[in-house]
Amino acid sequence: MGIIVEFAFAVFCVLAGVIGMLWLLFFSVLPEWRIHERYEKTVCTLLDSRIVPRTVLGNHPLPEETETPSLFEDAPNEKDSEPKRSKFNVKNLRSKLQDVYYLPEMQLKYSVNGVERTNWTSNFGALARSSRFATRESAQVFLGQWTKGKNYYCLFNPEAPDQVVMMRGWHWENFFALTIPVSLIFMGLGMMLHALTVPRIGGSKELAAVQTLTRNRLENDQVPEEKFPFIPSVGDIMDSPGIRLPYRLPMIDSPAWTLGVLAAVTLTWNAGCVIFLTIIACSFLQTFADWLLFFYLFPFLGVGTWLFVHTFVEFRNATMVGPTIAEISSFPLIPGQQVRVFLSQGGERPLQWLNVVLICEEEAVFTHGTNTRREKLRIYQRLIFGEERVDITPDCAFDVEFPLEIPNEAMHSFISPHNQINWRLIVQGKVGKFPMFERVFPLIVYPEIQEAEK
Amino acid sequence: MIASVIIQFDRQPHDFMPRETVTGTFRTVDVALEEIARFEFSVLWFTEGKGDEDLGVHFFKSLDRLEEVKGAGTPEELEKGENSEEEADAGPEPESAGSTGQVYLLSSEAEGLTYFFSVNLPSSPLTWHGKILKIFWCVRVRLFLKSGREVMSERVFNVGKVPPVHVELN
Repeated sequence: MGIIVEFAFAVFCVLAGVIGMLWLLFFSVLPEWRIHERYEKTVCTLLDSRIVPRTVLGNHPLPEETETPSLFEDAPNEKDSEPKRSKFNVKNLRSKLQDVYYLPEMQLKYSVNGVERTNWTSNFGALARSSRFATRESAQVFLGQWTKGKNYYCLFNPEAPDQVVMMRGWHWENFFALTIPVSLIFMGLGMMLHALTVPRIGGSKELAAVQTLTRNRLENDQVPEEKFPFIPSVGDIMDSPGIRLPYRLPMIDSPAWTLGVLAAVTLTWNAGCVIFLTIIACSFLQTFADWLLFFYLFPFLGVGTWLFVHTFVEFRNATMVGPTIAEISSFPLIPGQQVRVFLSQGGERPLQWLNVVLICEEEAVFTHGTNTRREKLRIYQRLIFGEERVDITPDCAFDVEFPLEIPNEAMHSFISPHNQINWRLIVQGKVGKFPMFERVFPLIVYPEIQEAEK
Repeated sequence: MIASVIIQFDRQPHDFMPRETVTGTFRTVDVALEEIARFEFSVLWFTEGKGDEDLGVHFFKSLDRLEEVKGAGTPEELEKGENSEEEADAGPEPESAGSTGQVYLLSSEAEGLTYFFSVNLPSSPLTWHGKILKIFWCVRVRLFLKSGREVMSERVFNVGKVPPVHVELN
């Protein structure tokens, strides 16, 4: 049943996307493309202009507004002619749809193949974000760019010469809008693919789990059964020998990765802001300053600045603290085992203090509504090495070796799709006024199975 | 009549060490033989707590056919010919999760069917009672009736001797 609902939703998404894309293509993109590619340029004379009030509902002019005077004639009192706007009310949707917008139009006289033609047009190409204006004043200002009786360039359709526009150009927002239906189509296709390819597992969830396990084993070319199932692999650590002790521990969440991601986000965000700033600057240089977009951009600029400062601070902090190397005498560990740990901390300046902490934490991934969340809870923590005023120079790192003991009745490391138990070695320190740094190294603890092997 | 399945371990308390063998029986109660469509027997661990539930099936045996239920083979015959791993390789439907174990019919009486099971446990994971994560091991039997009803019964047991978590932050 669930799969049918998923498939039906996928089909709905694809259909909605296709309809949305076709609507945008046929009513927005294609007409502009036709003007761009097929219309021919000619010289025209501006005979007259007018502002036509229209309503959203069916584009019918309101009865009291059907008579619209020419701009070049004596205009009536604008306040008198301004229709009253109704406030939006769910119960009175029709009146909302009868809200008026104003459509500027120009009467042009031009010649096609020696035949003089006179037509009205309301298409101004890229000059206007939209040919609809919310107030009569703004439409009036817009029409004020042109002067009656003067000659201008216009474009006409050779196949239907009565179709004339003032200018060709693209409304780029239509292309951005296309991303919505395209995303819907991709999302729907992905869901359809998922619904069609996920194997049908009938029966209990135990059977489903076994079938998944068998399938994974077949796909992974019969990987032999693990000796310690559901415990993280030790392969990477076992293959990495240390200098002082046999095994070098890899660092988790290396600052290089964090910095790389942070830098990428900062660059992308600020590049977006620069693009919008350029658009706004262009709108200021032209006649119509886009103040709305200008003020809308302020919070984005604020976030961009914060990201830039944060990246800079993180980069400075990361480079101020040198590399940390941790090595261990035995691996993996078992409860009650005592091993030696070698730590080497490099850097440019001495540390105020340096601590090494052994921790164990539970980690749970859970879905909360539509979000996936992760929660960690530290259940064991012990300071195994600590020193104040640690002398570090660029030429001489701080090296130390100390014992480490896993508690006798400790739980082993554990990993499953949504739950984990992790043992970690955490190196913490502080350099001058900089915030505390923390480097995390994984430890893997196996269960003690001596009694069972007897 | 309320159909049910009763699971019993051969050992009390139900504490086992890793790689030890869990043995016991399960029997049907108030179920007519003709009503039974199939059984599913599994030894598995599952998680409870803050995170979404994870499930690891260590041993799985499906007894689909009524003939199999009726065919009361002796333990010797079954041990000789019914290695669960071999069955898993032979048939398209996986019979076990790659572990060694066996399930066979012990007795078929008017009161119900009694099955014996014996499963070798893995090295991990051990039973765990943490703060936001708990790991339980159990024997679970599902009985599918011809009427479409499903009867599920499970018995939890412990693997390992890890004491419940005592948060220690020094």
